[in-house]
Amino acid sequence: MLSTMERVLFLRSVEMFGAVAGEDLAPVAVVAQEMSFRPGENLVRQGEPGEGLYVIVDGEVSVRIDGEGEVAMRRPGNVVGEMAVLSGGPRTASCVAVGDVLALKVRRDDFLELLAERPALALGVIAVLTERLDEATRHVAEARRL
Amino acid sequence: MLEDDEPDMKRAAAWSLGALAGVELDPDTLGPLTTFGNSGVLPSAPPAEVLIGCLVHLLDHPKTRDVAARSLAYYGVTAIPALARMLANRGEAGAARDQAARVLSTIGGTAAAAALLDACADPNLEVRGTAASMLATLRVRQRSVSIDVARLDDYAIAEITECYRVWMWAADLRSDRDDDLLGEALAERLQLGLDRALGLLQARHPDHDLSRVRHAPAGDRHLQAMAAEMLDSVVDRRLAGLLLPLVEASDDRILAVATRELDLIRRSSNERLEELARSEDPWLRACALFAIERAADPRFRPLVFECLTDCHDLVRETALAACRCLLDSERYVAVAIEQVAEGSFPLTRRYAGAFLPDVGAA
Repeated sequence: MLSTMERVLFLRSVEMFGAVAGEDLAPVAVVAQEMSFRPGENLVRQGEPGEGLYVIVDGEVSVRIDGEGEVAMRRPGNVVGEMAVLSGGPRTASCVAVGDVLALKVRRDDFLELLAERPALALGVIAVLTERLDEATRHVAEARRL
Repeated sequence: MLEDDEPDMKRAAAWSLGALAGVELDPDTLGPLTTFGNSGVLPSAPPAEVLIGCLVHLLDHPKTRDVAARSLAYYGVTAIPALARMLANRGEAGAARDQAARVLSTIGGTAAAAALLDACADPNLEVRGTAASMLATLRVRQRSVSIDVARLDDYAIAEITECYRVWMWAADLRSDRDDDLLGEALAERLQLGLDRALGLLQARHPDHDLSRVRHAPAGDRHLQAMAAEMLDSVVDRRLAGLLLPLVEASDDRILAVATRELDLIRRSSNERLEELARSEDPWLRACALFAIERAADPRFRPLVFECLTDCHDLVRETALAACRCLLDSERYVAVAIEQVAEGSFPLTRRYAGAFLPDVGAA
C-alpha cells in the first residue's frame, strides 16, 4: 500500500494534476482507494454512470467503444473515467485491464466536493482540460484540411 | 429545509434566509431556527441575529457555503459581529473562516476592516492570506475606511521576515530530486508569504496599484525596475528595502539581508529537516518526514519516533512510513500495532493495518 505522501508524489506526475501543488493533492490522495484489477476485468463500462475516476498506477488499460473496438491504450500516470465524472453523463467507453492493473479510484462525490473546496485543484484540472480541448480542436481543424 | 439531507434543499433554505434580510419578522415565528446549529444566539435575540446565526452555521458546510455567504451579505453591517466571531474562531474549519473573511470584505466598513485586520495575525496561513487579500480589496473599494496603519506595517514586516526564513530553509535544503515535495512546499510558502505581505501593503496604500509589483516577471528588467521604483516611492523605506530582494528574487541580496539585517543563520540540511519536522505547519512537517523517509538516514530515528505521536494524522502516517525504512521488521510491527490500537487517526491506522499481514508473514 502507498502512503498518502507517496500517492501525492505519484499524483503530481499525472497529467491531469500536473498544475496542482502537492498540498492541494493531499486531500485527493487521502480519499483515493487503491484497487487491483485482473486481466480482462473492467474498470468502467460504457453506458454506466460515472461514479468515479481511476488513476492508473501500474499496468495497461484498453479503452474500447462498442462497435469500434479498442480506440486507445492508457498507461501509468493516465486517468480514465474523468469525463463522465465531470460531465455527470454516462461512460462513453469501456476501460479493460490488459494485464494486472493497480489504480487509485477517486469517487465522483469526493472529487466534486474537493473541486468545490479547493480552487487551486479546480483551476489545475481546468487548465489541463482546456489544453486537451485546444489540442482536440487543432486535430479536428487539421483533419478538415486534409 | 435546513435539516434536510438533500443539499439542494439546504441551499434553497440558505437562499430563503437571505431573502428575509430587512423583513420585519415576529420572533414567535422563528421556531426551531433559534436552536439550529447551536449557533450560540439566544432565542430571545432579534430575529435578524437568529437568521444570521443559521447562515453562519451553514458557512461550515461545503455544499451550502457559497449560498450562505451571498445571503449573509444581504444583512450588511448587522451580520458583521457574527462573521467576525466566525473569522476569529480558531476551532472552526479554515474554509468557513475564509468565507467569513470574503463576506466581511463585501459588506465593508470600519468594523469589517478591523475584523479582517485582526485575522491578518492568525496562525492559520490560509485564513491570514485571505484576510490580507480581502482587506486590500475592501480598502481599495472604500478608501475612506480608517485602519490602524501601524499594525498593518507590523504585520507586513512579520510576513516579509517569514519569507526570508522560508527562503533560508529552502536554500539550506536545496535539492534537485524529483521527489522534493518539501522544496516545492517551501517555494509555495514563499510565494504565498509575498502575496500576504503585498496584500497588507495594498491595504496600507490603497491609492497605488501594488499588484504591478507582484506580477513583474523576474526576467523583465524594465518591469522589475518600474516595480522597484514604485515600492521605493510608495512604501516605507525599511519595508521597501526588505521587500525588494524578494520581489526581484535576487539570491545574493536575499542572503545578505537575511544574515545581516534579520540575523538568520544558515544551517545544515539535516538540521533544517529536524527543524521543519517540528515546525507548526503540518504540511511542512509531513514533507520533512517524507524527505527523511527517502533519505533513510538512521540518525533521524529519535525524531521519527517523536513524530509518531503528532496530533496531525498525515504527519503520523508519514512518520510511520519512515519507520518502515528505519526499523527492522520486528520493531516496525511493534510500532504499527501501537498505531492500529490508537483509534483516532484513520490514515495512520489504515497504513499500519495494511502492512501488518505482510510483515507478519515475512
